[in-house]
Amino acid sequence: MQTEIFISPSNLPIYSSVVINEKSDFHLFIKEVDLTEAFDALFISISDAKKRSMITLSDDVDSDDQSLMSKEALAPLLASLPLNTSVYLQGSEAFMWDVNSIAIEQGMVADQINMLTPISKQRRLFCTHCYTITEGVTHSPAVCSGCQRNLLVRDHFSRLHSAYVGLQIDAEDPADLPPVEELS
Amino acid sequence: MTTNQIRVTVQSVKQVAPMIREFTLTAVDSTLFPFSPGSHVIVDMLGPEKNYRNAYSLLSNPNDASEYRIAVRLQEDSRGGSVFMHEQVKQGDELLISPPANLFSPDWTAKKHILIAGGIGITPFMSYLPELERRGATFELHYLFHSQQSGAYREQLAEQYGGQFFAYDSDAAQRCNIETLLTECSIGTHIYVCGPEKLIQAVESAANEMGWPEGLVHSEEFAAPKPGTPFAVTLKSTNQTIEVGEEESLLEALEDADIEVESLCRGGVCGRCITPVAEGDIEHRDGFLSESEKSSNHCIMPCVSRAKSDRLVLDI
Repeated sequence: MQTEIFISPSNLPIYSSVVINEKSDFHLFIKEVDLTEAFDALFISISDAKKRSMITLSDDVDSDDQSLMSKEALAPLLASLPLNTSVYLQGSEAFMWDVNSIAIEQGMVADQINMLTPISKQRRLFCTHCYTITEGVTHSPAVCSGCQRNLLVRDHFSRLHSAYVGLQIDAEDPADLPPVEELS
Repeated sequence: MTTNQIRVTVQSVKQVAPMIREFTLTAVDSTLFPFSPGSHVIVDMLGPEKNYRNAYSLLSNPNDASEYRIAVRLQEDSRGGSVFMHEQVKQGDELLISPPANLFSPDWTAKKHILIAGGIGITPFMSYLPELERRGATFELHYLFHSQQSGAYREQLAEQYGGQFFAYDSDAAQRCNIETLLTECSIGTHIYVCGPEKLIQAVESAANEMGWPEGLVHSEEFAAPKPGTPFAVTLKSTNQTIEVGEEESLLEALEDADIEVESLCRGGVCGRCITPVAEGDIEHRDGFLSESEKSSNHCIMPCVSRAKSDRLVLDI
C-alpha cells in the first residue's frame, strides 16, 4: 500500500530579479565560491568603484587574497556599514540564508538583502528527529547523516536553519518506501 | 455598549499643556489589562446631539494596570470629540473605552530606537519609555512642539532622560533637522514618528531620499476623518438608507444608526472596518487597501473613505 502524504502549501523562498538601490551609499557583494556572470554584471553595474566591494566568505582565510573573509569577521564589517547599504548574495541556498541571518542579526532588514537564484538545486536538510543537518541533498527521500532514517524532504524551508524540514517517511512500515525522486 | 467595552471612571483631569488635558481612568466593575507599548483605546463619548469615538494612546506604564492615562489635545476647528473631552468630561464621570489595541508597537529587533514626537504625538512614546528602560534598550527621544499650545511632560522627560531627550520648541524658534538626524543613524536603527501628517511625511521622505530600506520608519497618525460632500448609503440586506453628513464619517453614520461595524484604529490604517460595496463609486482615503483593491471598487474603509457618487450600496 502506498502511503498518502499530505503536503502543506509550500513556503519555498522566491528569488526575484535584483534591483539596484541607486541611493545606497555602499554595495557589498558576498559570494560563496565561483563568481557567476550575473553576479559580476551586477557588481560592474555599480559605476562608482568606491561604493562597491566584493568578498568571498571562506573558512580558509590564511592566503594572501584580500577578498577572502571568514564568517566571524563578517558581522563587525556589516555593523560598520552605512544604514542604507545594499547587500547582494550569490552561492548555494543554504549559504545565502546563513549570511542573511548574520546580516539580520546585525540589524539589517530584508529589503536591503538581495539574493540571486541559488547556484545549485542542492538542499540543506534538517532532520526533525535527531536535529542533524545533512548538506547537499538532491533527492527525496534522503538518508539522514545523523540517525540514518529515511527522510521525506518537504517543501518547507526554515529560514532560521537555512534548511528544509525532513521527516521519516517509513516509520509505520519499513517496507513502504516511496520511489526516490529528484528535487526540483 | 458593545460587549467587550470597559466602563471606566475619570479619577482626575489635569491640564498638562495650554491645549492638552490628561485624564486618569480606573475600571468601574472590572480590571484593566496590562498593555503593550504604543497601545491605544477608543473612547466613546455620548454627546447631547452626537456620539463621538476617538482613539487615544495610553500614556501610563504598560506594566501597571491599576489605571490608564490618556491625553487629549483640544482641536477647536475639529468635529467635536476633543471639545467634548475638554468641556464636558469631569472628574467622577463614567466613560466607555475599548480594550487596548496596538498598531504602533516597537520593533524589538532594533539596535537603537529613535522616537520623534510632534506635539500630542508624544503620547504613545510615554508608554514606550518605561519598557525601553526596563529592557536596557538604546534610544533617543526627539520632541517637537509649540510651547504655547503643546509640549506636555517636557520638564519631566528632560529630568528623567537627560542626554537621551532632545526638545525643539517652535515658539522659541528651535528646529529639528530631520535630515541631519537621519544621516547620523547606523545599521540597526529604527525610527518611530507620531504627530501631524506633515511631520510623518517629512521623516518618511527624508528616509526615502537617503535610500533607506523599507521597514525602518514606523509611524502613527491619529488624524480625524476629513469632511466631505454628504451622501446616502443603502444597506443591501435591509434596504435601509442612511444619510452621511459633511462632518461625519461613514462609520460614525452607521454606528449612529445602530449598525455595528468592527473597528480598531478609525484612521484608515488597520483594515478592521473593511466593508463590501455592491454599487456606487468610492473615494478611497485609507492607507490599507492596495491600489488594485481600490480600483476594484468592491470594498471600502468606512472610517475615513466616502462616496464619490451621491449614493453607495453596501453589501451588508
